[in-house]
Amino acid sequence: MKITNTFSNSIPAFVDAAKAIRQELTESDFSQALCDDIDLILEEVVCNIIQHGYPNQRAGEISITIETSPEPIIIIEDDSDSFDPFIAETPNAMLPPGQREIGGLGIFLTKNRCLSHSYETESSRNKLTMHVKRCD
Amino acid sequence: MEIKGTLENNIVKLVLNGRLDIENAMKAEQYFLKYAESGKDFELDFAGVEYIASAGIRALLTLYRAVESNEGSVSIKNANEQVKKVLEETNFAELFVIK
Repeated sequence: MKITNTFSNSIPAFVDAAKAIRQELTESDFSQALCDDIDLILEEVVCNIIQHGYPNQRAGEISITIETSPEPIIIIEDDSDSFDPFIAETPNAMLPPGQREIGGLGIFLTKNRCLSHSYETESSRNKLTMHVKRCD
Repeated sequence: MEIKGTLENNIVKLVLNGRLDIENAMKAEQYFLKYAESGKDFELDFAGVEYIASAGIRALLTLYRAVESNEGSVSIKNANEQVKKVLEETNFAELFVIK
């Protein structure tokens, strides 16, 4: 099973795309916990790209592909400035939680849910590939 | 997302329904700050919260900081496994009384 969705680089457009993807994931054999993990990865990575990869509110387009077998793989392609979200600093876990900033938390949660991830850029296109851990 | 709030004996009780995600977290944060002016301690009923992402954690952290400055507390009850997992793996569970 392959799920694809392409949308403009805005949070409302992503929210609509994520709802459609969630609906399609219900037709896979994934557990609810795995669907939630995929949902979270999409939200954290795509919002990061939208917020940091398009300066001056430049218009752009983002594509998501999810392959459900044999193992879950998420591919996100976009035309943002060359930008690997995974190089973001991990939140300082030594600080008490009340003093910690949220920045980098989304990518931290994403890394925890991936077996591996890779980033490529070519001809003004970025491609992130994430192999998702099966939690079911 | 729906949030219903009541104030009893200086305790703000909020019942949340929906997803604490990028679509709803800002609205939740505004509710939290509005109620933070009214009461000291917070009890959040998460029975209807399906999912949380970092945007939702941000909203909870904003509430925690507002409440902490009044020497109050935030408790969360009836959180599902997804919410507990995210709070625990980020260590933010330490900030709240999880029931």
